[in-house]
Amino acid sequence: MTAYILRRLIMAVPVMLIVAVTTFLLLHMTPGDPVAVLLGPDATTEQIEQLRDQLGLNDPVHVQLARWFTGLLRGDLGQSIFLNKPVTEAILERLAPTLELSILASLVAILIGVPTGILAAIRQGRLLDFGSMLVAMVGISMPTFWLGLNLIFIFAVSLRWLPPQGYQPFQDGLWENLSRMILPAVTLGAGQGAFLARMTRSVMLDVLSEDFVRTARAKGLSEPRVLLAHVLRNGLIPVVTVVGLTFAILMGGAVVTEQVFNIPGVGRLLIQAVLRRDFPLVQGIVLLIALVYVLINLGIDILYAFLDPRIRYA
Amino acid sequence: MRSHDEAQRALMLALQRRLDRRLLLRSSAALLGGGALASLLAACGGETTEEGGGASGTPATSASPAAGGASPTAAAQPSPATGGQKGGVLRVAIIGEPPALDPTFTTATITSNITWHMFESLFTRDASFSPKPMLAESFEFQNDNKVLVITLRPNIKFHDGRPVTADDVIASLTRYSQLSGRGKNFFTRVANLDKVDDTTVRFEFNEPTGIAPVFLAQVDAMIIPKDLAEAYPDKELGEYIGTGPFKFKERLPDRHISLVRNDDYVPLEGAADGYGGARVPYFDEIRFIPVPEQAVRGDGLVTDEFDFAEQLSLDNYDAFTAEPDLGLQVTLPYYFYGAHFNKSQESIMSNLKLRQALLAAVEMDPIAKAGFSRSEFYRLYSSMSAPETPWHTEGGAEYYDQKNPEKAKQLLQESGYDGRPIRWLSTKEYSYNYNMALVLKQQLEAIGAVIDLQVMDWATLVKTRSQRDAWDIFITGHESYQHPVLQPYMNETWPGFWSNARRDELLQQLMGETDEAKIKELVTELDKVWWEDAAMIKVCEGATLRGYRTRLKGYANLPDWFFWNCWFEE
Repeated sequence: MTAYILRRLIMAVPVMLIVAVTTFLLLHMTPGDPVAVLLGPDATTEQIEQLRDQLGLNDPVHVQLARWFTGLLRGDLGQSIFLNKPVTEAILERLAPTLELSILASLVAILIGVPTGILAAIRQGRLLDFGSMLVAMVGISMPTFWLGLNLIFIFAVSLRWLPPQGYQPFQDGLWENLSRMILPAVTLGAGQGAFLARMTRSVMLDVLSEDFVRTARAKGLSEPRVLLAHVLRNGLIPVVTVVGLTFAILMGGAVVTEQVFNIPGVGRLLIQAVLRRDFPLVQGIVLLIALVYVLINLGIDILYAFLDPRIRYA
Repeated sequence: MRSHDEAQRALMLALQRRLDRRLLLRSSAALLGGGALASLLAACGGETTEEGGGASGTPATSASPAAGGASPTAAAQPSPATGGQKGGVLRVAIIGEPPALDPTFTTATITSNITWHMFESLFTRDASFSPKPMLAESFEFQNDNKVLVITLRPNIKFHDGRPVTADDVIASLTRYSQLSGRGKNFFTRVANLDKVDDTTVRFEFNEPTGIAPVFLAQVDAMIIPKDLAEAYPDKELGEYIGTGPFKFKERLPDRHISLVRNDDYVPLEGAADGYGGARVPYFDEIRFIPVPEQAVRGDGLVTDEFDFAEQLSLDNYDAFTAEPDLGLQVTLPYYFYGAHFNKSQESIMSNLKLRQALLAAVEMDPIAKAGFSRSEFYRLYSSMSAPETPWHTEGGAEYYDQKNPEKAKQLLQESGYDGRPIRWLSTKEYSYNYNMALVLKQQLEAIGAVIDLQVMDWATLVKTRSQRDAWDIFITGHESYQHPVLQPYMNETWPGFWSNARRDELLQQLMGETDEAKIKELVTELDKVWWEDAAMIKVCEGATLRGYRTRLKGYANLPDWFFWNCWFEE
């Protein structure tokens, strides 16, 4: 198993390299000037050119790429142009809200998705099945920001139950923290939950029609035991994959939600970095998201072996 | 996979910003129906923002409740500097994270608006936007405006307790001369800047420079301790020590910038006068919270998450007036907006006749309405300076709002225009920009001009506009309450690339002059040259909408907001 993990990690290196180079080149082909944005609308061309020189932005692209890459090999992601601090530090500062949001949104997705999927599968073809799948369909089709704005309007502006925006760290109090996370977590988790519900339902239906389920029922096991010990355990593997990917997607996809709810996380940082053409910062965040994907995929594969004793990695 | 689409959509959304979102919301509403949606739509209206993080604010004498109606404030009102109560944390929703907390380094308005609570200059501006001593106690021009002697107020202290001396002033202004565009420009006239004694400095100019206080009244000419100025000679400050009524506490990017009251601050005697006069800090703390989404700023204000929010949607004005405990300010004077021509040789618009043709064609009101929605939110006048300033003139007024297609066609023919597409840079990041461009395009096409409207994001636009061969027209805004000499387009390297010998002569004379009547004559002539040379199509002055909880008192309605002299009523 250790050898397998090591091999997978080594295989991740070329993936990260490709991501790094592609991001760098794409960004540098995009028009736009970080310095012009930094120095403000009234800055003169000389001022802009002077700072571009200082920052090395006037060097040829291959020189900039080489410089960035040398830094990368030393673990240095460079300096954010706009925030005037190391990229690693800028990302680490925003990691907590995004991680918390992703975890809570995943929880919302699992709590909505898995039970709904199971119930729909058990009640296949009945009203509950149709009803829940219709809701799931709507959930999948609903744009995140649209749901977010509606939730803000109903629960924050009209009912005044929850605050409409912002982030408070745990240190400022659990409720202060959670009250600001509920709406964004539901916004982000609902769509994934709907997706998960459909996925769980279809996997459960597949497993329910397997021979071993019939055998289990034939030997007189109670229905809950059949479902929990046999069907669910076997159905979990694809569901775990989806849950894992959901988490990765949420990490990268919290962009809109963070913007709508004014949460100072990695997603909002990415949007702003793109709008300001803060090249090193965009590169750093994209690399981080790629790394999260790679690691989560690896984690899922390892989890398979625990869930399904038949799977063994040599 | 769905979520990949979602991430893509996220980026698209961010790039297209709120205007599109409103459209999307409308279409979703059309699809789904539903009563709550109508109000939601109202709450997510389009925005009107300035470029580059620009924002300015304006306290009014007393917070008038929204229901009372917020009429455009024509002139600055004196705000009572005394009578408030100390305490409280003021939460201010600002349009985004400032690029730096150093106004000498960046020209972004959001930076100067935050930092002038911490940093002060030798002068500031009074209710008519003219210079007024701040850290300076007195000043005297000598030798036909070729020498300026400034005496500092005694006993002013930096936030770290050290006294402000002539050495600090010289070091700060040296940094200003190296880092700020305006500072560089101003210092081309400075032959010597010397210390006379600990509280007196002496400028010696190459030529008469009566305008010096105007430059020294800007936030970029701030005074900081000598060691700090010398530690950051050509880069943005990493420490924030000034003399202002509030002190730096912390900056958590995208969370907040927090300033606390400077209890040792000694205000000037007398009343407040514009940005000048007595400045009294009342709040324990001011928290500037970056909220880039306009709808969120509005929602946060309504739900009491913020005490003050800038650049609210003008479209939501009526909805806000219905809210209890909410005050509104439609701020004028503010920015004027117009289309800059690329006057460099690389552009087709270097042809004066062609520029004059386009100028003759346009009718301003529909364009202004497209940008600012209602006639209460804009003003139409020709001068580059607002009526509340001493620089407002009628110079060249005959060229404004000509709406004369016949004359335009005639001029177009004389210009030899061959129907080549005129490349117009526009952005939807600022809705006024795109909306005004659409109407202008329509009017110009009616006389036979071919307009190639290129829509891009702001970062691309600012990059493109600096390339002389890449564009012909773009729209932007400029402070209408600023001394004309300080307008960025007076600099030949600023996009627009306006060079004009007569203008240079006038600027030169304006730089030297201190006589008010003479200054008025010169700015009238400057306005005239600006129009005759068809430097740009100035369209209108547009207002900005700000809101606040009515417990906030002492807030004056000036174009740049500030929160000294403001307090919470119990």
